[in-house]
Amino acid sequence: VEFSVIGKNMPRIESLGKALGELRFLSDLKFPGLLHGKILRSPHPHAKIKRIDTSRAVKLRGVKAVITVEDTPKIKWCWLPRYADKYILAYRKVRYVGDEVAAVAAVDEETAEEALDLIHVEYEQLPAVLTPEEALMPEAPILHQGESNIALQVERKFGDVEKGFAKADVIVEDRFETSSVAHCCLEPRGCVADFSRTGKLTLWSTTQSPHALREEMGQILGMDAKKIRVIKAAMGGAFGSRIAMDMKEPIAALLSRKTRRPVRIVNTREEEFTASRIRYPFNIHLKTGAKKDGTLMAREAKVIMNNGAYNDKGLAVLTCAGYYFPILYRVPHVRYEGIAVYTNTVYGGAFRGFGNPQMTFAIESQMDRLAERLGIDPVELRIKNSNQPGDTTISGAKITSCALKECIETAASAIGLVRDRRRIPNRGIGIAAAFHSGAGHRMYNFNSAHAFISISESGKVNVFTGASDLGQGAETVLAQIAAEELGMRFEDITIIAADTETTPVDLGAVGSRTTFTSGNAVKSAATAVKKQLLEEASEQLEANKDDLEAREGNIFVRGTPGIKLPIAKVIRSCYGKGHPVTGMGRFDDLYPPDLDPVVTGYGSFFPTFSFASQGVDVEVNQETGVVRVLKMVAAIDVGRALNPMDCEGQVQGALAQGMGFGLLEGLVWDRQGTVANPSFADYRLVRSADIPKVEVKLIESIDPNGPFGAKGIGELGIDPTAAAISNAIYDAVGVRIRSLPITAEKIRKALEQKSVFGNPEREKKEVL
Amino acid sequence: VKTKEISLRINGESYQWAVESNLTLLDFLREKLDLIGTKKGCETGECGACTVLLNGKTVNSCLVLAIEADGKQVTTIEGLSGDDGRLHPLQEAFAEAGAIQCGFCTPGMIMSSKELLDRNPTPSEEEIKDDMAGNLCRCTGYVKIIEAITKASKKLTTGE
Repeated sequence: VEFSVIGKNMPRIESLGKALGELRFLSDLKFPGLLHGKILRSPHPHAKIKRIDTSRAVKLRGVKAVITVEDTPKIKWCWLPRYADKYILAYRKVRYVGDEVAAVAAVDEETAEEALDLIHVEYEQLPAVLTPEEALMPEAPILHQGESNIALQVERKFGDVEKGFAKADVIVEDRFETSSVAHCCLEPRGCVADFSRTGKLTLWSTTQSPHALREEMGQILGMDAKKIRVIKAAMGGAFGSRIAMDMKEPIAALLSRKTRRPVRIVNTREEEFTASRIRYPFNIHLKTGAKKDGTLMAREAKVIMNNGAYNDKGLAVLTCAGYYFPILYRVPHVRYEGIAVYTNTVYGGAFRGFGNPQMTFAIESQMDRLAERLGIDPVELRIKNSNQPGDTTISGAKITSCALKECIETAASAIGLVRDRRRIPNRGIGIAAAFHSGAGHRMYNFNSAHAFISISESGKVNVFTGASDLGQGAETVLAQIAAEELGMRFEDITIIAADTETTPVDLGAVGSRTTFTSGNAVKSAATAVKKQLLEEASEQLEANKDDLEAREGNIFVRGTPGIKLPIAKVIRSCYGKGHPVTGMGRFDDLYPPDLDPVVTGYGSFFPTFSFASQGVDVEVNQETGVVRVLKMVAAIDVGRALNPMDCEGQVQGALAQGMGFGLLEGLVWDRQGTVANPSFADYRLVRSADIPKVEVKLIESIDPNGPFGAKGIGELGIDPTAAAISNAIYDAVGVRIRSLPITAEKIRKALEQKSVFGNPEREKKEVL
Repeated sequence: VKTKEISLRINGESYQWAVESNLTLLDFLREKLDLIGTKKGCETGECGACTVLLNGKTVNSCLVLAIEADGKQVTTIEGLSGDDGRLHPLQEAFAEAGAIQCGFCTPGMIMSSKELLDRNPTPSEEEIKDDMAGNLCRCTGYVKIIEAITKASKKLTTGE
């Protein structure tokens, strides 16, 4: 098939506006009478609130409203109502340093900040628990109701792991740890709430999921969600952090209702680190067994997840990790047990990968250990156990398109991971593989999407979609899909997106779903419109409509060269006959909803999977422990690359984030429960100078259900990176670090131990 | 807070303004002049999103007081494209090369790379990487940003 728009490196629709500095982000929007909101946050990790005195703050000139929990509906909330555990503002108790206690709206930010200092809160401090280990002690203070700090539990059993391990020739067991990673969107999160006197609330938000946010706002404010309109503002990154509601959104709404003026609240950079969501840190006990020929027999994971002070996405991440765990490689017997533990620290949320970067770090580090024990090449071991198209996994997931094997082969050969390669001292190569949902999931009950297209008489195509562009290029790829399917030019397409009153219901940017789900919806709407246009054209051309095709603004008759009818003319002719040119499209969910921890977890919960493998070349300084990444290769099964440049961009960005996850990033707390590194100076991100040579290889497996065969890849790129780096470090200097980030200090210590005690790490090949 | 009268040129235009002595150049540009292209990312000079040129040199405008710009020339992203609306080659290259994802770091990135190319019209890849290390990007992994700067450098020096 020859495409006109699909498969082309179309620059982003909005990129010129961004390059010019014209595109308006949330903080750039002007509102008449705008007030600035600020939130008073708890300085203690765990305390009772005895008394709050706002009287001095209220009197400060320029302050228009001060609210505490008494001004709120006191509704406990979680995006899954069953797990509700958080009020808009702290009620009787605070549970982490950063917990929202009170809020102020004032004429400017300085006044609002000054007012915060005038609010007097009397606390009675309680003992705090900062780690799951502390929180699980018998005498530990309990954060919420209940007998323990275990917030959630998930168990998955497929096959019979005991039997599997009994049949294995080699068993490897390890404990892995991952860190608390901050999203670090360059734009701090914010919102503007405008409560009209008629009772209607309009919220401009940096949200990935406007429709879900509208419902969530209705729940927590105890108001009819139909009276709420959410408009997504242009967004400076999100990476999952902006899927679920943040309390500043209902706080701004309440301040606006009280003042009858629009109220804006934007995080400071410090709040981005101390009071936003993070990637949940996992503690993973992992055990894998294999036959001597490398066939995987059983795998078991016990996960302790630090849930932080409140639930948020904890349940979903723990559950999702349990869905992903049994699927990478063919494993006949799998068990997964996970608990989420409340602690007095900032709580987690969705973050690119959603539990999968943590699990993949463990699984893929251990695969190399297993390979060494078996004396099998790590590439061969992976290929031997690869998922294949048409597989049904032990957990019941159906694998449709799958190029995992090609990904592994491509990454391995591009990074030079071949048997008997020449070794350079302190240089090492590592590889890892991963897979991810390429089309979302049904955690919000539905994953379906729909879209509308309306074409004006002069040929302007308006596509209405609920998809949320957060910088990943959603609008551009949807415009490409519409243009290709309609046979019109890319330039003719306008995307109208992510406003709960003008665009159709859609979950937005969740679970790498947009290209597949919203893409299918837009394509189906375009198909409906095209049918109308071709019917009209067939009358004009006196040709069978099945022989017609639309391409780049014209309609052609197959097999009859020379005939060309401009689509613009066909559109005018439709209107001339009194018929508007319009279409509705839909993506219907393929699978039933089932992401509840109490159920078995057996089944297909993701419409399709994307696969990847990455190779990394590193140099380790034996003296300092400093790792220099020299080259990274990513081979990625994208189904079809609708916009190769954008696919590459997603993967390159994920690689840099994966490098950070692997080597640099993690929040640290002091003993008082305060984040000790809440700034870009102290929380190190990968910078341009750290970027190695990067190669991205797009592999097209053409998904049977994806739009033009495409699958989503937004998250996938980060899943295997940390393990590939860890494997490369081991290859270079023979030390394996099982806790992220793999800092120079950890490597140095491990190298010292190695020099004193010999190499306990280097696995001898089992005598089999 | 005391105010002080300053006069300066911003993007070629003269301004006289009475500003509070604690007002940052960033807030002056954004709040007083509505030049919202310059972004506020951290307010501590660590992310580079607020980069502007002060007498041709890059500064984090969140760390510079408006009164320090008195008598000086400021160039922001809005001043980079020509009066006729023509884009600067860096702006074109960033858009075409896929160097822009969320776009929040873009104005700062472009201003930093403008200064780099003014100083060193044909930087090597390593020089670009080192020079741009003050500007954070969380979306692109920098690869296409480096490509865009190389592309713009070629266009500016050879006209290609």
